[in-house]
Amino acid sequence: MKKIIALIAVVALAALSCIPAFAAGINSAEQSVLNNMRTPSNMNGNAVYVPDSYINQAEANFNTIDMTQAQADEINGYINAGRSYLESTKRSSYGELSADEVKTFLGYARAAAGVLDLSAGAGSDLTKGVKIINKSGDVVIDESGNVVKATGAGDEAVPMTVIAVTGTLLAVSCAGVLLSKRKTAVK
Amino acid sequence: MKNLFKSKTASKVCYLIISFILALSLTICALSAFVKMTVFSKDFLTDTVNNSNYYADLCDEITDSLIDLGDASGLNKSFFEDLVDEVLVREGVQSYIDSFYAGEKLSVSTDRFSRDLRESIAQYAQSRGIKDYSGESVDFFVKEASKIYADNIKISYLSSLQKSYLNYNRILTIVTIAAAVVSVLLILFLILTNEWKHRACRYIFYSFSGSGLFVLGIPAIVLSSGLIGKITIITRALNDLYTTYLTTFFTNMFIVAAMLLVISFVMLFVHFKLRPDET
Amino acid sequence: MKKKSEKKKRILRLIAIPVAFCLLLYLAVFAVGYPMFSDILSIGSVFLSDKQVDYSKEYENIFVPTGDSKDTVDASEVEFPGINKQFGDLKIKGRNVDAKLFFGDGDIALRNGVGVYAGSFVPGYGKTILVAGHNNTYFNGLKNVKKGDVVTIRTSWGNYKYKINKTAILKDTDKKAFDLSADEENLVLYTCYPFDTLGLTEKRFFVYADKISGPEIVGLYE
Repeated sequence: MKKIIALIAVVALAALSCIPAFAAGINSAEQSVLNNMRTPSNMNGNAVYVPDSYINQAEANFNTIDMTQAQADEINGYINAGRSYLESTKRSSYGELSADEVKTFLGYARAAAGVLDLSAGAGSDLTKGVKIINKSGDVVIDESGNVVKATGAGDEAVPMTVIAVTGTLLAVSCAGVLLSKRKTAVK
Repeated sequence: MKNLFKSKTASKVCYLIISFILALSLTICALSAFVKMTVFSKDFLTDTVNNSNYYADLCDEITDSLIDLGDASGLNKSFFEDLVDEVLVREGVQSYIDSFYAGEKLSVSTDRFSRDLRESIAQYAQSRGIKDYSGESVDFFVKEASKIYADNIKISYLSSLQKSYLNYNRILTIVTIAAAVVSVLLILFLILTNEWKHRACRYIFYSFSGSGLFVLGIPAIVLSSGLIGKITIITRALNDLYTTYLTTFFTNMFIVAAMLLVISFVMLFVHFKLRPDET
Repeated sequence: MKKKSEKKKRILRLIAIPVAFCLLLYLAVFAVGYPMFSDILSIGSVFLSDKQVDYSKEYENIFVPTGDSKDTVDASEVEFPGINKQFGDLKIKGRNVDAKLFFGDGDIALRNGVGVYAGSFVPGYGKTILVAGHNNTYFNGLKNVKKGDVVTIRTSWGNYKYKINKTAILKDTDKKAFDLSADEENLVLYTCYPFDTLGLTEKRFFVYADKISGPEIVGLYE
C-alpha cells in the first residue's frame, strides 16, 4: 500500500519535472503538493505514509520548476483520486488488490504521465531499473541500480514502484500477472 | 448458372457485400499467416537477433555492468576486458529463444560463466599476491555477477508473453485455415453464381485490392510516423533489437500487401480479357 | 459521349470501391480492436518519447567553482542540479579522497565520481546529504578517515566544510543508517565494506559529518 501511494507520488513528481520554468524555491502551489504527499492514507485502519525519499525527490524537483496553482490542483487531484480509490477497496495491502483494481488505480498514474509527456525507459525485465524521461530527454528518475546503494532497494523505494508502474501495466494487460516484486542486484 | 438475383441493384449490392466479406476474410487470412510466419516463428526472432548488433552490444553492456560491480569488489576494469565470451552469450540467448518457442520454462544457465569467473578471480588474486579469494565475499560477488549475466541474456518481456504465445499460436493456425476456407468458398460463390464471369473477376478484384490496400496502409503508417524510433528502452542492445525487429516486421508486411495487390491486378486483367467487346 | 462517361464511371468504380473497402476494413478493426487493445496502446504510449534515449556515458558538468564565502545564498542564485549532472567536487585532505560530485547515485555518477542520492539534498539545504561511492575507486580513501577530519564540498553556489564525528559499519539495508527527514544539515558518506578485498558483502562503511561552514540557501519557501 505504501508502494502504491508512493507510486502516485513518483509519477506525480516525475510529471512535475515536465512543467517548464526556472524559479528556484518552493512556492505555495508546490508546497500544497508536498503537504498532500505527506498526508497519510487510511488503508483499512492503517495510516500509510509516502516515504521521505519520495517527498525529498519531489522537493528537489520543485526547486527546478515553477508550478502554477492550476497545475498543482491537477496533480493533487490525481493523488487524491488515487488515494480515495485505494481506501475504497478496503484492502489492507497491495498484494490483495485484484488485477482490475490495480488497473483502475494505475489509470490515475497513467493519466498523470500521459498528460505531462513522460516516458518510461524500460530495462531488461525491469530488473535493471527504470528511468523516467521527460519530453526533453532529461532523466527525471534514474534507478538503473548499482551495487553500492543502500537506498532504493527492496522496500517502498522508487525503483520498486517505478518498476511496478511500468511492469504491472504491461503485465496486467499482457499476461494478467501482477508484478509485485523486483529482483534486485542492488545490495 | 444465371444470376441468383432478379433485381440488378439488389444483386450488385449483395455481391458488393459478399466481396467486402471476402476482403475481410482475405485480410484475416493474410495477416494471421503473416503473423504466424514472423512473430510466432523462432527463425524470425533468431534472424533479427543475428542481423542487429545485439550480441556485440550485449557483451559491452554486460561488461559495463560487471565493471561497476568490480568497482565495489576490488577488481579493476582490466579484469573484465575479455571476461564476457560472445560465443557463450550467443549460446545463452539462442537457448533462451529456443525454450520460449518450445514452451519450456525460461531460464539461463550461468554455470559456465560462474566457473570461468572464479578461475579468472583466482588467477587475478595469485598474480597480485592476494591470498584470500575464495571466501563468502567472493561467492557473493560471483552470485551477483551471474545474476547480471543472466538478466542480460534474457530477452525482456518474453517470459510474461510465453503463456499468451502458446495460447494464440494454436488459435492462429485455426484462424488462418478457417479464413482461407471461407475465402475460397466466397470466391467460388462469386464465380459460380455470376452468369458473367468477368463481373465475378471484378468483385474478386475489389476484395483483393481492398485487402491489399488495407495491409499496405499498416506498415506505411507505422514506418512513416517514426513510431518505432520513439521507443524508449534504456539499454542500447535491447533497443536496437526491438527497433530492428519491428522495422523488419512492418517492412515484410509490404510483401504481403504486394502479393494481394498482384493477385488483384491479375483478376483485373482477367476481367478485361473476359469482358465482351462493346460494339 | 455516353460510352466515354460510362468508361469513366467504370474506372472510378475500379478505384473507389477498393479504397472504400480499405477504409471500411480500418473502421471494422478500430471498432473491434480498440476496446481490446486500448490498454496495451495506452501502456505502450508510456514507453514512447520524442527524444531518443542517450546511451552515451557522457555527463553534463554544471560546476563552476566559486571563491565566495558568504553566510547565505538566495535560492534564486542556485542552479539545482538534475540527475547525472556534476555539480561540485568532494575532497578529504590527506585521505586520498578527491572526486567529482554528482546529483543522483546511478551508474554514470559512480563511474565518474561520487553521487548524492536524489532522495536527499544538496549542500546548504539544511537537510541530509547522502553520498555514495565505490570503495575500489573514489571512496577507497574513506578507509583512512578519522574523527575530526574535514570533508570539503565545493559547489557553484558555495564551498562547504563538514567535520567527521563518527564512522560505522552497518548492513546495506539498515534504515537507521541515515535519516532523510532530518531538519539539520548533516553529511553521510558511504561505500561498500570491507576495503581492498576481493568480493562483495552486505556491509557498508558509513561516515557521518556535521556542517562547519558554508552558505545556507535561503528563500526556499514562499
